[in-house]
Amino acid sequence: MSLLDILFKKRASAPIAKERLSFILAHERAHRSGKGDIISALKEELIAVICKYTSIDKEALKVTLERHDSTDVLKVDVALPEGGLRRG
Amino acid sequence: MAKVIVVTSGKGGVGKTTTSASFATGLANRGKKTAVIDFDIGLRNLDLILGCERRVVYDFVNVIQGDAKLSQALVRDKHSENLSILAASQTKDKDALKEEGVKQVLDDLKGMDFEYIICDSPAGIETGALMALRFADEALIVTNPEVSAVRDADRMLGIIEAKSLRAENGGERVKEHLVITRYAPKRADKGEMLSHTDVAELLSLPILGLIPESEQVLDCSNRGTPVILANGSPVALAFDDMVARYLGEDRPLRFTEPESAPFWKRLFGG
Amino acid sequence: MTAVVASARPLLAEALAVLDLRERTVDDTGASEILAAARSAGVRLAAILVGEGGMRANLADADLPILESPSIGDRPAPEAVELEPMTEPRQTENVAAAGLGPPAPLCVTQPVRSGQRVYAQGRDLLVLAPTSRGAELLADGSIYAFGLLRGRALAGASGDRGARIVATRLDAELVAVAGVYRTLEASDIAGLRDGAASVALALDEEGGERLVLRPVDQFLPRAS
Repeated sequence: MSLLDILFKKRASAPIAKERLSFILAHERAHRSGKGDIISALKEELIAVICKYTSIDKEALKVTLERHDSTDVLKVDVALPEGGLRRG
Repeated sequence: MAKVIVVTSGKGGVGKTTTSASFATGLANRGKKTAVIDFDIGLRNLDLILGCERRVVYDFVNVIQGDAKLSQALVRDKHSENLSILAASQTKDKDALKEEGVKQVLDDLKGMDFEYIICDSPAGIETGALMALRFADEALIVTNPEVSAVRDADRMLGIIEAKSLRAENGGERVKEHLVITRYAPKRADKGEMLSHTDVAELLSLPILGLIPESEQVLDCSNRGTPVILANGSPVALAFDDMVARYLGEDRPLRFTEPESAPFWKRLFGG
Repeated sequence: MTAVVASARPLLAEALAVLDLRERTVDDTGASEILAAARSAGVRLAAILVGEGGMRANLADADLPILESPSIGDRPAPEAVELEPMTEPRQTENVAAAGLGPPAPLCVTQPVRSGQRVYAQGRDLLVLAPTSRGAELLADGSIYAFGLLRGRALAGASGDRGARIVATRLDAELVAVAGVYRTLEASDIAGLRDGAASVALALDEEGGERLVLRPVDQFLPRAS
């Protein structure tokens, strides 16, 4: 580290590394304990949330990840039952 | 026509992934559309070094097995707009990297107009390493000025000359380049470490990159930034020289002499 | 036998050796047991010597060069190069068939890398590039190496005693002619003073064969 680094208190990198690792290791451990890939996990949680408002078929929910030029797009398609949204 | 370049070493821990990340970034920042692929099986590194670990949803094996399209798996690098990353699979299945599958992915990347496809090889000479070099047009051999690293590099050169598709078809040889990392000029001067000329002579290859040992490398991997972007640091300059040389510029080797920098220089960093 | 090898372990640990099976009239299992014991003791084997018509079949998967050597020569001494009156090596039948002249040498122009092996069958070997440690050069004829020779060189592999090894820079791990081998120590290399050197078989005073290393640019004292 140079004197200027000390003078301007550049943020040390180890805490950044620790933060990144905590996140990614937690994610990977969940994956290894058999909760499936991130998309399936997301799907499960979305179904649980939507079911608070209406009952839907698991198959009626489609989740896809699309990558365009500079943005990633998460598409969620859900076919609502007759009657639409209603507190169930 | 797109070039497939394998970055390999034989020995582990010498700096392949660090080199792949910086080499690919350097090419991308010079306007070349570049893809970098992690050929490890079961362990994933490249995404962490480039800081895109949270954006990996699909990996190399997902694409080969048809679970995802290449466009879904490729991650756009956050530092360089011309750079895309294909992460390694965390599967334990050694046979997941099938030759036809790998070839298909490389062909698809060429079809997407990538100019350079960098294959980051794992250590060793097993499936991952063999697949990484299989379709290579050129090779970067990374080594440290240390006996086991040099011997493994030599062995690796022999393997490329036998197991690459070009070698098997009797075509034009895979062009080999030498990258020496973790170089410490002071120790080489004292005779404690092999000099860069020793290594080049032992491996019979001219030096493409001579990268000095530096704390900057750890700092950058902590941050998820390729070290070539650590502006002004000797390692970044050395990698930049390497990319320039690769593209045909004549740059003399730097950092071959022990540092005898004046106080004011050391005060202001480096 | 394993016990004997095990007790020699510290000595053998880093040795580069040739396994000499010439005196054995073993059956198949004997040879592979010896190989296994040697390997487990950490001995690095460079080649296997067998007697004339010695059994090779079971040795095929040892993945080592197999040299035929009919006579049990003296074990080569490991001391430094000495200059002694050169006596001509015994004349031997020419490897090349009589008539049309010798076949062209096998010419290697790329570096020979660790783990690679080049075999010039029925002819000489010409190497115009460096040879790394852990690489092997084999020839039925002679070996001429014009780059740094750091690996193993075995000339006269089928028994030609007149074969030679000549190198512009010799730093080999092991050299052999017609099955007579010598592992080179740092002192052997130092005696060559970085110049070109040749390796050939010569008779010593007792009529035994030994490998002699000498710098090429040295004048030879005439044999009286």
